[in-house]
Amino acid sequence: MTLGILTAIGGYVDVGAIATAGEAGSKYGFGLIWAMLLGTVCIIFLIEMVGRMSAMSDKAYMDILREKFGIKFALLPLASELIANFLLLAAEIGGAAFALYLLTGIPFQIWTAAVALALWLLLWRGSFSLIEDGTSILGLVTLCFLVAAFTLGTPWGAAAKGVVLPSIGSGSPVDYFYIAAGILGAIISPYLLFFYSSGSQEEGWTRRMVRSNRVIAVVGMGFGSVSAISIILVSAVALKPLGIQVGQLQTVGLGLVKAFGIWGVYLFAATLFICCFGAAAEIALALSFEVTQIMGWKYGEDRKPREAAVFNLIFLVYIVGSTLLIGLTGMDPLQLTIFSVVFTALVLPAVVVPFLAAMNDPTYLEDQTNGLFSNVAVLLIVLLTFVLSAVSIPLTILTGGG
Amino acid sequence: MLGSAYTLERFGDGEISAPFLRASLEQYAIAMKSSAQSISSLKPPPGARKEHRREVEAVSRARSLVLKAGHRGIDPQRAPELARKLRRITGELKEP
Repeated sequence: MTLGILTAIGGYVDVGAIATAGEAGSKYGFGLIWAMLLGTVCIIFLIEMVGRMSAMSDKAYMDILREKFGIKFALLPLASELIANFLLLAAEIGGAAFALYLLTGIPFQIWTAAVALALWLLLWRGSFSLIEDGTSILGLVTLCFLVAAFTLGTPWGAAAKGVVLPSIGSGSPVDYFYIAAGILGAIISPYLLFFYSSGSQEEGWTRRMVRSNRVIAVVGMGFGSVSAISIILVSAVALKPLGIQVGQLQTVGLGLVKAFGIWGVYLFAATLFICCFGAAAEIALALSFEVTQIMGWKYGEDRKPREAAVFNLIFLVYIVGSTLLIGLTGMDPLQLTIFSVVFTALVLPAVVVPFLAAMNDPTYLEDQTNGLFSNVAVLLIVLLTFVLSAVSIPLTILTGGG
Repeated sequence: MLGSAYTLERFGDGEISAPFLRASLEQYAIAMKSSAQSISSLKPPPGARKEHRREVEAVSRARSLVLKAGHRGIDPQRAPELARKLRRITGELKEP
């Protein structure tokens, strides 16, 4: 179960997702919850499928991409993932450092080195189960937003109406759809698939896990979705009536301050730190998994570093590079996330289209290949990824990146 | 600007810690600087030059107040007064 929750943290409550959910609620009230729900349905389908594929084939998705389509084909999604996730890793390290900045007042650029060192030590010395259990259990702190949504007296009827009949209100349609695309792009993120698939290999899944995998996919992504929707609700109820629009991370925390007073500050900093740190661990591991699987090299978080030296070297190089990017340039973590989501959306079809072919191959899935319903679902998701891919750059230009 | 005013008010009520306030005000000041630059880079229509200049000045004034409070720190008792000033400036921006 913890694998599902850890995977969801990267998609739903990382640095960019927290800010985007806060922005959505503070600007459009309940008018963008539909995007979160749509993204959740899509990612549940994809996560269930990639987990089923790994359990049945005893291989990770990138292994199958290489075997089935050849290394040259697999290099395209890999190259795009390397760039997008480099930016995203820098943003997550920046986000965790930002949480410490809010707690101490010491500039976040100074904290980036400490965060990076802690991250590297965890990945180098820690086991996969320590990373997933630790992050998942500590990640439950995000549920403080759900408690805040109740404490602040969310009008549930109006929220439900906002899902069924979403409204832009007096906002700009371009900005509205830009945020919607940002929410969908962050949730339907390829690295979540690669990470979940690799995690199932680390845990040694077999076909006996096919049923449990369904539960893990639904509960894990459900947890992420509830957390992210709660951020929208809190921002809609606490900030929108005051005319406060979320443009910076700390503004999201004001919703918790309204609900819990001074404890809101600490809960927000804890949520931001744990989620960003967990997402950073997930991204760094996903990068190492992707490269080693595509190249056919040894991989595994639970192997001794000398047994999987390249695997360990890759996340070290990425952590150092990302830390230098955010620490030396002082770039805004949110700006980095925007670039990363746009880049991810552009290459999303290249990752999801081959998925359809792999999920129908009995060589890997035996009697567990996709049925008609699942295939139609993937086709619709592919269509959505093409739309996201087509609109991501124009919307970013029109809104000036938010 | 409203976010910074609200943060100051909550600080005055003891609901926000001093480091959170300082970090927040620094970030709001950075955002206001980029807002002021964006507004001043716009070319207003001939009849709206005065209003445009007033907007740029208002954002710069707010930024200067927020920046000063962020750098020097502020007493919780004085925070509501600064918040009121920021709200007044926001009101000026909304005036036609």
